[in-house]
Amino acid sequence: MSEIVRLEEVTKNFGHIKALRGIDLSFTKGQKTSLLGPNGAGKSTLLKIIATQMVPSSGQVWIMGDDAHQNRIEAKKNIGVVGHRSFLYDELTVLENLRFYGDFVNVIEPEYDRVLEVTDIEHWRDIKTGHLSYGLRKRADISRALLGNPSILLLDEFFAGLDQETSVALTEYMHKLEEQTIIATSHTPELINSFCDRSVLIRGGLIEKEVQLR
Amino acid sequence: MSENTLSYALKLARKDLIVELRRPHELLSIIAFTLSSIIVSSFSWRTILILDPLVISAAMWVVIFFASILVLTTSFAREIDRGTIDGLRSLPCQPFAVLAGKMIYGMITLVLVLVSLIFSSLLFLNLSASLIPGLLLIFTIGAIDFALMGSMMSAVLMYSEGKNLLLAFLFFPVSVPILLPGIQAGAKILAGEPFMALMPEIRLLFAFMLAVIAASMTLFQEIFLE
Repeated sequence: MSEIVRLEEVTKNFGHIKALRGIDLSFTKGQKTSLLGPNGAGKSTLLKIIATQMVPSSGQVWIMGDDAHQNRIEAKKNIGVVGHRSFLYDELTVLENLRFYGDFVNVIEPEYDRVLEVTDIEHWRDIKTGHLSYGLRKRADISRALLGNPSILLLDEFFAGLDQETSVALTEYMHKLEEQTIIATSHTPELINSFCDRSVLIRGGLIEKEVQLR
Repeated sequence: MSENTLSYALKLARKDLIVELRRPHELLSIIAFTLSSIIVSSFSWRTILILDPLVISAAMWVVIFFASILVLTTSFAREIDRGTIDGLRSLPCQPFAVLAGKMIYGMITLVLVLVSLIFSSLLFLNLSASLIPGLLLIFTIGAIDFALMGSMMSAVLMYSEGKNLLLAFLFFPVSVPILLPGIQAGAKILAGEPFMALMPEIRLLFAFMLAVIAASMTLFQEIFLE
């Protein structure tokens, strides 16, 4: 299996607080990994470093064989991020939001239909995202993250604030994404592990346990 | 700035303008503030027959200064508050494109305010229409300076608690290099001095603009990435 993401001795300090204390991890193509751990374990920090939104204090991140923090623009083209807060603008419709983000990855028109179809949100494409329910908004956010067909999908606190029904529906969408390497954080393992094939437990900025789920 | 960076900046500015126009209460309240400031000045000066051009120029710059605070305090703060800043960070473009987008948005918004300021001044301060080109020129350069510097300040302060209050306080000292030559140049235009008499002030305003652009290009990436 080809390696898509590799972390070498990644650390991150916020003043005297050590959020990550030397993480070594690798992720292969199509692999779906859950990063579990209590609040403050360093999961979101790790995702932000992989997404090249945060600079590590030391260590290296390799994405598709390139040093991600030396080639941030190229790395970002391969990464879709769904944060626990939506990246969508309330005043824009779902399609306008997708077009805004899609313009940065040179998306062609049929791609919008494809990503809207993946999360079954075509019906709401012309509705302002400020008028959508939390679950629909999350689906629109996943569609946004899938623009340009990125190889890596980073999902931060993916099920936070979602009801059971929507969470189950979203896990079904995740099953459809066979091509993408998915790295998802959560502190509720039940749902996230239903679509992941590996689970990594992080505690105090260190990897405590790694479990192969299937 | 590369062609790509400029094109991404324009896309970002376009998005901000659409968002702003779909919730126009902020822009309209800034324009209302501009109009009412000029009308109040007109009431208070009605008994003075010959007003010093410096006073009129200073009053107009005060309006632009406060309008700039209102426009620019929200530019990055709102992205932080609504959580979309991480969306901007995830964009595959130079970080400077994001700042440049905010700067362009700030410039366009301030120019709209400026147009309302100049036309209300013509009506309520009895300024001559022949002064419009000169005033537009000098206030537009000043508004661009405010937009550049205010966007950068807004970015610097975006992670701080009470960022809106801090920006309002810190905006004044860093605006002095715009306000001093701007007020002088405005007064010269109102006094009917020739265009060449404005050159020292215009040079200062352009020098400040270049300094802010250089500082932004160097520092913004460090500010933007966590």
